[in-house]
Amino acid sequence: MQTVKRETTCRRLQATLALGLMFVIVLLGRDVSAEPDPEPHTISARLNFGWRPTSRNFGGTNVFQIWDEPGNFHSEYEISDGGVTDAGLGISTWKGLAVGLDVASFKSVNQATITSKIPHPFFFDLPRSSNGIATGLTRQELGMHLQGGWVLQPIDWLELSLSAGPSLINARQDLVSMVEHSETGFPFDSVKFSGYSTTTQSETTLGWNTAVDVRAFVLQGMSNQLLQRVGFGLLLRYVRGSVNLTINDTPIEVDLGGLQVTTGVRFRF
Amino acid sequence: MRSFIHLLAASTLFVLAESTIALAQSLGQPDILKLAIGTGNQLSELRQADATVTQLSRNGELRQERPITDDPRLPGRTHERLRQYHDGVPIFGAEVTRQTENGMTVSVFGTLHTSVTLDTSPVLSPELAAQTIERLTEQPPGSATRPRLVVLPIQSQGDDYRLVYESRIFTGTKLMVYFIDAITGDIAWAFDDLKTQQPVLPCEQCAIGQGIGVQADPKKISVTMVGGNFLAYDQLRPADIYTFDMRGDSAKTMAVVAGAVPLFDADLATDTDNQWLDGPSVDAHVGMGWTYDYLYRRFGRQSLNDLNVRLIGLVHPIDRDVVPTTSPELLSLLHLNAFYCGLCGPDGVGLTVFGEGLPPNLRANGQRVDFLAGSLDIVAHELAHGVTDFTSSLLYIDESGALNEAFSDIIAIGVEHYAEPLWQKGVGSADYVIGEDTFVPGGLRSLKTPILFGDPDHYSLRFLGTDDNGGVHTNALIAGHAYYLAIEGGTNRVSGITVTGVGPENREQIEQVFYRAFTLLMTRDSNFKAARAATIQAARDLYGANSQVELAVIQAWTAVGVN
Repeated sequence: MQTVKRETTCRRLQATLALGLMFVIVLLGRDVSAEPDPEPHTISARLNFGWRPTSRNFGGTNVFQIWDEPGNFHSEYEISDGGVTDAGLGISTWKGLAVGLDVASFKSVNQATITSKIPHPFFFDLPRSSNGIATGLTRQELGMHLQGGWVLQPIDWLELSLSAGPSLINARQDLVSMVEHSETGFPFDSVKFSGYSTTTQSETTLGWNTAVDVRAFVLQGMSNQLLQRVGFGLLLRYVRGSVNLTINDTPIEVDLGGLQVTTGVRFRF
Repeated sequence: MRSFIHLLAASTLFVLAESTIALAQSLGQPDILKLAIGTGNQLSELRQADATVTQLSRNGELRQERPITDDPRLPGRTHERLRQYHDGVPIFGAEVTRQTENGMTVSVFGTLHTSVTLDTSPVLSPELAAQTIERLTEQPPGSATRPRLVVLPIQSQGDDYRLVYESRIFTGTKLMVYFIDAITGDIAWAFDDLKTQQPVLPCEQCAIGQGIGVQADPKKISVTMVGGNFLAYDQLRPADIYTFDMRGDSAKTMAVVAGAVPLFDADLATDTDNQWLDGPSVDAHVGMGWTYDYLYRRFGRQSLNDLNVRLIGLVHPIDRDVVPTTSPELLSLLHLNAFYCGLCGPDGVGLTVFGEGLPPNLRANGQRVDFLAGSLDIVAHELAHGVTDFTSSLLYIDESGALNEAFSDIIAIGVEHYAEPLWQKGVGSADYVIGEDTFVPGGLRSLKTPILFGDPDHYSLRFLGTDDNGGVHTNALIAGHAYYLAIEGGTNRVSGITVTGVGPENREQIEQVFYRAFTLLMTRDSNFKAARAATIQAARDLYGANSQVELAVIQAWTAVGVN
């Protein structure tokens, strides 16, 4: 239930941002529509900071042997929103076509809900259940996003680029590798969750991305040549990929990426 | 000697009314008060019985045998067990249980002797009495427990009492209780008290292994790891449980039972990889654990004495292959029987021996006899004798002995039903037959259909001979059948009376009733009639007057002819 609600919230946020972006484009386009076509710029660079509002859940079950019988624990991870740093370079080639390469980093600190089934020491098939929470679990994603797309320049100081392409994503995830319980004593009807251990898994995968970048160079009318090339922008990027992390030979499929909303400085040469 | 007990039983009257007590006292004649008074009696009767108990307590004639205990189920209720003394010497078999609620007496059960006039100065010394017993049984000096003075009622000699020394001695095949006349040195009475089956991971060394039982059924087994070996020593339960492997050495077995030889860790059943394959060791060890669990979960009882006394089981007490050359006594005791001996063992607080059975090619009464530890109900039955020893101490002879056996059968059936879902893949199944996994085909006794094994299913058919301590095993089925009927319902074959049982889904109600009656209300010489009264009182205590449970209990006893 909580997951559905979170996804609904993300979709609303995405729609709001898209509408806002369109509004900015239309507004700016109307104000400067009388300006002449500018000289095309071949190289652009950007540095962004922002947020990834997407929340994701994933879970995995570990099996272990205790009291001469298999037991297990299931960890349900909630990857919450977190900060994104993004830097990239683009090159215009021919008739507004462009290629680019971005490097983006995402990090969030999360928790996992752990549900264990611990076999009874005296009897088969009578597991005891316990619940616990693991905190301080870090998710880091480092993505290299190769992009191809179009750069539209409705007015001299405004650029709009639409791009898509493959992504090489490295994910580092803290995972619960072992749970600890203390027996409450005879008649052993319950166990007490007493701790956990974590391990960090790192895997790299190939995914994809698509992005919209709006760049405004409102200082281009200034006399300083350096300031003329500096602008600000808003980047919306959606990244998707998945990796298989493993704990004790148990594969756990983990979805990566999501919508990233960042803003920052732009340079064009 | 045996005749006295029968006369005692025959002469026991339910003398409940004030006039009877007064009459006995005024005439100055030996008299016996058999008290079985509860909430079903007149209030005046209850008050009179309570007054009698209180007066005797003040006089010092009745003394608390054990501290007053709170009722395990009913808040505000307490139980006391009082023993009667004459001039500071206990009267054998004379004791009462009194149940109170917020200071008001609810029930009084037991036996009192109102007119004992006996000089309690012995002529014989305790040492001489012990020597007499050891000479009679051809046992070495020091074998007999220290004799203690008691007053023994002897009704066969004109309602008389004798000052005797009571002492126990294990003779190799019997646990004899001797009463030596403290004046003349004669044997006043003797009986065999051997209860036979037939006529803690919080510790660093604790480990759980897997064992394969006699029926090839997998079970978890709680053991202790020492030096890379695994020993059949359960420390995970509050009471330590030990299973010793006597490795077929019958001489050593008998010496251990007699307390003449200590047991060491090296005698414990052992395994090198914690995958136990010796069925008798596995079943004895696990069965004792499950019986402990049942007593704890069902009744809140902590081991046999409710104080977590340790449990000891001996397996492989004799070599199976020596059957052709073994004596009839050892054949009966160590091959075909399991037994609990309350005073036996290294520290004299009881142990259980599980017989070895017979080689597959031999039969006893047409039945193949497997390892006796292989039947959970046999394991539970034997341990239940320990519960009786620590509670009602029902005399192991005649009707009280039959009730002693019946209680063990009842606990055995309870444990089997409790454990039925615990067996993996449904290997074990619960029923009302005792020993069916060992004595194949058939089993030993049936609480459902006693007549299948020639046992009485009605009081009118009870065995009245002297064999088997007065037919304790066979007459037990009268009470056992009543227990069955109270749960399952049905029609008694002899009386034709139909009982509406509480139903198998409510079996715990009847288990609680019988457990309460047998452990809290009954005394050592209770007979069937007293058992009926005590179980009815227990049903009222737990489930109320005129409840379905009480009606089922009343109907069941009536159906088997106990009124």
